Amino acid sequence: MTLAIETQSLGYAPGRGFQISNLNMKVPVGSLYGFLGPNGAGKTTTMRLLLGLLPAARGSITVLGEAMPAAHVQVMSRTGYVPERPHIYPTLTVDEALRFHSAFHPRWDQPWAEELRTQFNLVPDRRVGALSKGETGKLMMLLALAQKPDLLMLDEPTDGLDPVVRRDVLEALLSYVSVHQATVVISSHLVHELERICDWIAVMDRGSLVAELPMRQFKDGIKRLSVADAPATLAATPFTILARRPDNGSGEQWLVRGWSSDMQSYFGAPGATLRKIGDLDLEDGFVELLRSFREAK
Amino acid sequence: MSRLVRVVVVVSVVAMSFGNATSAAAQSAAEYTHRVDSLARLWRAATATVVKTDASRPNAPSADSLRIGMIIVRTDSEHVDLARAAAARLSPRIERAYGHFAERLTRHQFVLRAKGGTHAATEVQTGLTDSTGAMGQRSSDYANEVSLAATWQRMVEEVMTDAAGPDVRSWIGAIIPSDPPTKTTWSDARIALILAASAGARDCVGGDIIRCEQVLGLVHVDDPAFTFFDASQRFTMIVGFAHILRRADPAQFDRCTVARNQATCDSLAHAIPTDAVNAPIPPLVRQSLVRFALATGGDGAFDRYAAATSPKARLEAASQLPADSLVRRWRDTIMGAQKGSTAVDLETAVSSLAWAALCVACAVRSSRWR
Amino acid sequence: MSERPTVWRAILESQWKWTRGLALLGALVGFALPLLSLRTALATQSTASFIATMQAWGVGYAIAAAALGLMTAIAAWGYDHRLRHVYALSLPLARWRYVLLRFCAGLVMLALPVVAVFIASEIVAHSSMVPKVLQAYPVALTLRFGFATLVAYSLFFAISSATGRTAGYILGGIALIIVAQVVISSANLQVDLVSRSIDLVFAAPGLLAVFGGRWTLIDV
Repeated sequence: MTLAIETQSLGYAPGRGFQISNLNMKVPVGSLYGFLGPNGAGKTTTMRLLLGLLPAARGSITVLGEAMPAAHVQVMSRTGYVPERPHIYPTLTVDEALRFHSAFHPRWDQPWAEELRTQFNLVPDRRVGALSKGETGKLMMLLALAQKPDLLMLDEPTDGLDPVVRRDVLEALLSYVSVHQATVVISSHLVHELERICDWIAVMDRGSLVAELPMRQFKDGIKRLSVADAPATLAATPFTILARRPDNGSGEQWLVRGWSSDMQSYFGAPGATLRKIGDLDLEDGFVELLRSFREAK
Repeated sequence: MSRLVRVVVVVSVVAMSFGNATSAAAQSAAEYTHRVDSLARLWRAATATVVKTDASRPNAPSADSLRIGMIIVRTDSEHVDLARAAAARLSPRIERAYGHFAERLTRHQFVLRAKGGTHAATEVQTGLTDSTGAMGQRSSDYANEVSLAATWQRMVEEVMTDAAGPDVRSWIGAIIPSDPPTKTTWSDARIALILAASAGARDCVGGDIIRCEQVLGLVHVDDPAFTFFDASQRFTMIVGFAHILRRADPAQFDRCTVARNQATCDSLAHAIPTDAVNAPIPPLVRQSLVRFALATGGDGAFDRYAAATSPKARLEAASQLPADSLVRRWRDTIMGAQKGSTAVDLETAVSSLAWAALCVACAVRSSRWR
Repeated sequence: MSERPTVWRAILESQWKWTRGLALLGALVGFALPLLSLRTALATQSTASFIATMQAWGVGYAIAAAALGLMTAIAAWGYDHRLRHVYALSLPLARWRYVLLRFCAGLVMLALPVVAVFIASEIVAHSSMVPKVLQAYPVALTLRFGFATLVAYSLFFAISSATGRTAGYILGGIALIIVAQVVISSANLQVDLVSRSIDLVFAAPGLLAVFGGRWTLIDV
């Protein structure tokens, strides 16, 4: 598997009790990599570390085959970045912002930028500082896409946007990705959005990577099992039990990870009886995963 | 009593002035000058009377005398320490400036007394007696050695300038300072020479040494109005003497000032008495020449200066240089002494560029991580 | 949108947008100073007071140079500071190159007031109303103004590019000298730290030496 991004034992400790420790991240080339985590988990910090905007304390970072931050210039020329907060100079007009940004990116596609601008209904001589939140979000996506990047780092790009704008932005993104096979790393709180578009998922909490696996595997692997007569102490299971909870007086509900259909045979032995297998959506799975991670800590 | 005498003198002078005004219609420039000299003599006599009156007053009781170098001070017992400190501060300056000539100062005494009234604690009365014992100069001053020494120094300069010769002060137009000249001295002289409103001074600035000697008064000039000034400057002079020249001959005056007849103006310019013609240079310029000569002459310069009799001889004796060489060197010194310049010198230019480069280097090295 | 600009052009255009008002105001002030100084000096009675008036106006040039340098430096970094440098750091451009380009763009802005000073000084120098015995120094004054603006801009650009901590160190250093002077004075020691520090800075080859000296357009 060729990797667009790889970190090894990445560490960062700015103080105030927060730190990123021993982060080993692998983003496959061409993947739509969803980056999930609660507020303060370290997603934005991780993205900034990957792009060389913050200095790592330990470990190594490789982006698009180049070591960061040493190859910052080469990497950023192939990377489109949409940060969490708008970073465009507010006094520039839309047209001036496009002109300014294009100067730094040799692969800038002017006709396509114009097409996107029209599609996004951005008025050329309107100041960036006077744009609405949605318009600003669209502009930032436009700038990131028009430079024809090999890698897109999107830090909550649709946060605070209305559904119509969100759709426009994601459509443009997916349209680009489908044509250019770019790698996309996208962090978001909107789990359902990631569930729809991402093929890889990573969950981060308190500076640590809790899970990193293909989306299908994540969704298929997390199940809610209704179990009867389960003993208090269980023998070794082929799956990971994230949580055991009483089920309205009739047995237990087990939240498990790493489930596959052939594991039903585990319940053949004397002891617990499997009554029902239920699916969890990404959000439920994410929540339960986090809960178990925190309880384990 | 002395105050009353002063008032009487002033009233007399003013009255005479008013009285003279009625008969001014017919007076010529010479008559005018004569009257001014008379008033000046009357004033000097009245002032001397005031001085003698003061000197004849009984002195304050219990005065102490002390001598440090050439400085003799008569002081009340309360200010002995102050007197000693001020004299000790002043003495080396006197000896450096006047050398052996400083012995003349022993003919005079500094007087130091308490000052009455509300300023008794912080001020003193001081003065310098002349060779007859009369109080020649007097002053109030702060009761600290620095200020007192400076005041005494000014008094010494007055005395020593007059001791150098009866014509020295009138020739220079000022006293001879005792402090060693500095670059500021020369730059101030340079500005005064450049700004002097005479063609002669302009030529001197331009490098004409003979013209320098003329404006400095080292060579005799028959017709200063024509030697030192150009036509427009003479015209200004004629207008300045309108109150005399117009009364003497209104028609001639108008022919010059209104009709601008050059020949008539020249005739009027010739009528101005030599000693009434404006000085071509301010006193500061001649003073700087004297200071330059003394500084060039080194040890014994002031003695030699005082021993000679004419202005030119004094300068040559002091500097031990011929007058033209002295003037040339003096001119070069003051013209080269521009105090600062708008132009940025090479050192400042290079250092500015270097500092700018250093600042930019610091900026370039600023942390890229925020 | 027209053809894709160069990086230098893009930075220059953005800087022009932020500082054009300041550059034009500076040009206006630079143009006015020589003319106003002549106008007030001509109202004096003597040549000596003419010179004194021209010298007095010299302070205006020094203040203008310092103010222009300061405000241009602040404007150069203002929006990057506000946006926490995220955009600048995410551009595919080495940091040192970016800083250098920003600095040079600011210099271009400052050229306007310097040229304005030169033009107005030349007008004054060729005026028939200047006393013939005096000389005008338009080139010298312009050069001094240019150097002073450069030094002020470079200094404030460097401080502006640094972190708040660095600015704190600088201010702390200045405060330390003042506090030390107070302590020394209260101990009745005859040491003048403040004056010595000022002399060090303002005397050649000090940092602000170009601000000393004469700023007189017309002089003897």
